[in-house]
Amino acid sequence: MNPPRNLVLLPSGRSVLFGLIGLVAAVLATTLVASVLSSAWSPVPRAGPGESVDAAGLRFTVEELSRSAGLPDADGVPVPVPDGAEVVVLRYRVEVIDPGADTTIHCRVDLSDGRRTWPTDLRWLGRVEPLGAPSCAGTGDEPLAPDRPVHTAALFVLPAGAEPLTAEVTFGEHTVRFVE
Amino acid sequence: MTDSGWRSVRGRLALGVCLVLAMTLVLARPDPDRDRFTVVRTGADGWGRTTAFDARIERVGVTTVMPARVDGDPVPTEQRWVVVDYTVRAHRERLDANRLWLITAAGDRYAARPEFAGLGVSLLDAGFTGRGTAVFEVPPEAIAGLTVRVGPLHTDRRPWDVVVEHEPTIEQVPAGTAGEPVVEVTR
Repeated sequence: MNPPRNLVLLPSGRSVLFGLIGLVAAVLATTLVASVLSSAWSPVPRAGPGESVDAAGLRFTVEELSRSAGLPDADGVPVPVPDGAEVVVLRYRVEVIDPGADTTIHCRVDLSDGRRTWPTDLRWLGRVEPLGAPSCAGTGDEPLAPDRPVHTAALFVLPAGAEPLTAEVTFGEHTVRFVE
Repeated sequence: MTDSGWRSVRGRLALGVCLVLAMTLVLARPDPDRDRFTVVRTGADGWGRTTAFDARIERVGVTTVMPARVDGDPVPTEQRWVVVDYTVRAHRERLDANRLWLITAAGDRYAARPEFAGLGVSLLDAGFTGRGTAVFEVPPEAIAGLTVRVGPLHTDRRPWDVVVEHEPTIEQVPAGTAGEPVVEVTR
């Protein structure tokens, strides 16, 4: 015997629409929750001057994060910056704390006041007196090693009077932050 | 019509809507060969303002000989040098402020000549204003109806890039002879 015709279930247009909207909302909510939980579980380590943070088997110590009106070149002659600008110097030390850590890293350093970002200004860094090793992995002659820390630096030129600054060091998939 | 008949019609209607939606998404897929950005026109004060940068075309001149640079000779052309003086303000991040284009009335696009790139602003950091010059070589018949386009200026490609466009008054004298590009803190 055939079932009564009014028992055949067909989705209405409205229920299909609501189903799609619900699906999209569920995906968005899951992504949002996963993102929040992920950042809460693995916050980016941060350190102020004199402090250290560890990441990927390496220890990063902030030796200096300071602002100044200018810096001298190798002969002691001040390198001029545009009127109304200032120089921010970041010096930091990288040490190996896990012998298995990758020491062939490349560090990208960006400065932010929460609203604007500045990448390392290589043009100015190349003009002033050397502030440290040019790379956080050291040099060819003195590479980063378990018994050999690297002192390196980044330099930024930005409008004077920026809000409190945060330097973000990114290497591979890892990030550490230095604050004033 | 019976209740089950209505449900059947609504089900097919929903299926049809989904198919139309899918076809629309396929047809509206961006063409990778097309430029994709929003165009902002310069206003009455000459500035075109975007969230990433502001730009203003200060002066556009036409000549057949570019003045000599340091230790160089004047540079003639059988076409026309279109010399554009411009100002760019970077708001939030580093931009490549030397990306200017000329668009002809026919839609052809000319890039600035690289041998004069030293007159341009180049990389411009957040909070700074740069003034520079871009030089284009354009056939004389393409001069009328030129539009100057500034951008996209992001150093990496963004899905929602913005450009500034300006329809200039062109002077029959060379601009851009003032000297080197200038970068200063935005006032």
